[in-house]
Amino acid sequence: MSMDLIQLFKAYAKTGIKTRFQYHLDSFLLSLAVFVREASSIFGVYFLLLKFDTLNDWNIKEIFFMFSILSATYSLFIMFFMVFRDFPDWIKHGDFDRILLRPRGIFVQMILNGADWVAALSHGCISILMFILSANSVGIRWNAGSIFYYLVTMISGTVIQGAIFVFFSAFNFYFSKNHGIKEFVFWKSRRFATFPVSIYGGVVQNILMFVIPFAFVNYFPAQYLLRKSDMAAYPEYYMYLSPVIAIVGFTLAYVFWRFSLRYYQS
Amino acid sequence: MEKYIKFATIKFMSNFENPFNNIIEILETLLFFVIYWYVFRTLYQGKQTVDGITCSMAVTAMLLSIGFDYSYYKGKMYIQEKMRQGTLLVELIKPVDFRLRLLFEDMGKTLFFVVFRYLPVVLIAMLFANLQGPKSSFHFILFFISVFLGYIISWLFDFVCNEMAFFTLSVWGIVSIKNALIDVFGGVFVPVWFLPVAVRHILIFTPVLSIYYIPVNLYFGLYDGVKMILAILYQILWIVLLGWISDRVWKRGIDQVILKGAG
Repeated sequence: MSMDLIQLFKAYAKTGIKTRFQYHLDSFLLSLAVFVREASSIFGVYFLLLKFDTLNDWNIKEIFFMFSILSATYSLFIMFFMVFRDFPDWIKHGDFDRILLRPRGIFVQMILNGADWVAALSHGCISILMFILSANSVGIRWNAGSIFYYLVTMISGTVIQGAIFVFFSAFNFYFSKNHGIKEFVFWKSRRFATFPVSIYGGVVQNILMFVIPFAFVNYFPAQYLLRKSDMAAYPEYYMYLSPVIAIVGFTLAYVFWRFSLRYYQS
Repeated sequence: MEKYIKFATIKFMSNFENPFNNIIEILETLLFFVIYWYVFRTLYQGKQTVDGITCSMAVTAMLLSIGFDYSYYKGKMYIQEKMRQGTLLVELIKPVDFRLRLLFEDMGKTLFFVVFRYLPVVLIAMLFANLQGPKSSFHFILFFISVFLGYIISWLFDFVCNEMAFFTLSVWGIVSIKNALIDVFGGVFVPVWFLPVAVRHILIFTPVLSIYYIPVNLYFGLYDGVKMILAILYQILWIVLLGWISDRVWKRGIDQVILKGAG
């Protein structure tokens, strides 16, 4: 069964990539534009820290490293959860009905089907660039333990972002139009995650930890590897909580999504 | 002229139709500002000034640049859309100047955004952030003149990028890259004062500084006497230059469209 799924993903990926990169120059420009757009915010931080040296004890390399986790997990996220981003369109254009008719699990099909390869490539490149610029100069000892932790971080971060989107897309079964809110919640809170969570006030911190848990996508995992002084303000076990948040968050989002599916009227 | 003002008024009024959108936009701008407010509070811990810039100046500069950046109506791909729909030539037959109509329509929208989306953000920000006022009422008036010139520059810059639709399949990439450059080097992601000197020297040869940086400097009264006039003249120079470029490209583009029979 799992081999079968991999085959299916391969087939979807192949057609997806072929479609998106059909016009070479155009798709190159498009990827470059996404790359520049996304890199611009971290460039801003770079210039800022050129002047100020550190932000709450984090230097630019350490912020690069934290940012690389954010963009890597985002890149993985758009390979698997893209459909949930564009879900209102899927419902409106009847694409969702097409999925309902096929002899595979609905949710599985959605996850395998909707990658945005241009964006995934651009964000992937940024994360690799940021990783190369930082990973060897921020004092991380790369051994079996830290590599394993890093891999778990990648999976948890991807799943946490997926959970947020699955949860919000479920509202589309009730109201066909809620594009604004989902985009707003996700994109705006993602911007907060560019900086260490510790710089924000209490309310913002709590939202980023327990409501839209971006702090567990990159801040606490980066803390485990970097051990910055501002970690003293949080319980030690927060550094190990990302997989738990991912599993619990995704389960809740999935259950809510399945439940809401009952109310779907084509 | 009257008809163009009508175009602007229609676009201004049409934004009243969707109050929910406006609330979301206000929140977006506010959140963006809140992030940088926290960032600068943290960066300035234990420091009074950095390069002669105080924390409240940096925060105010961010609020001004972010607010206008959100209000300016850029990134709409009008020429590309018209070409794909095949209605560009129809637009040219109409007894109004296509570009002027677009400019006035966008001005109508922008005015709405400034009054109903940006102003509320400023009012809310005044409640919690330590903002700095303009140096004097004279500087405040000068600031508004400069903001208007900056808006025209931003619009023309956007239009020139949009005109590339005559020559490429999609201008989304070009427009996005242009916007990203304005964000980084124009003062939206980091106040221009903090950019390295070498970078600022290069930026003089681009329209980027004219959009937010010069108005902000005039607001704080950082230019004295002759420099003030030079700053305004520098902005006017960019309007003339970009206007000329957009004119040239427009003529070449339209010729090409007519030759190919597309549009």
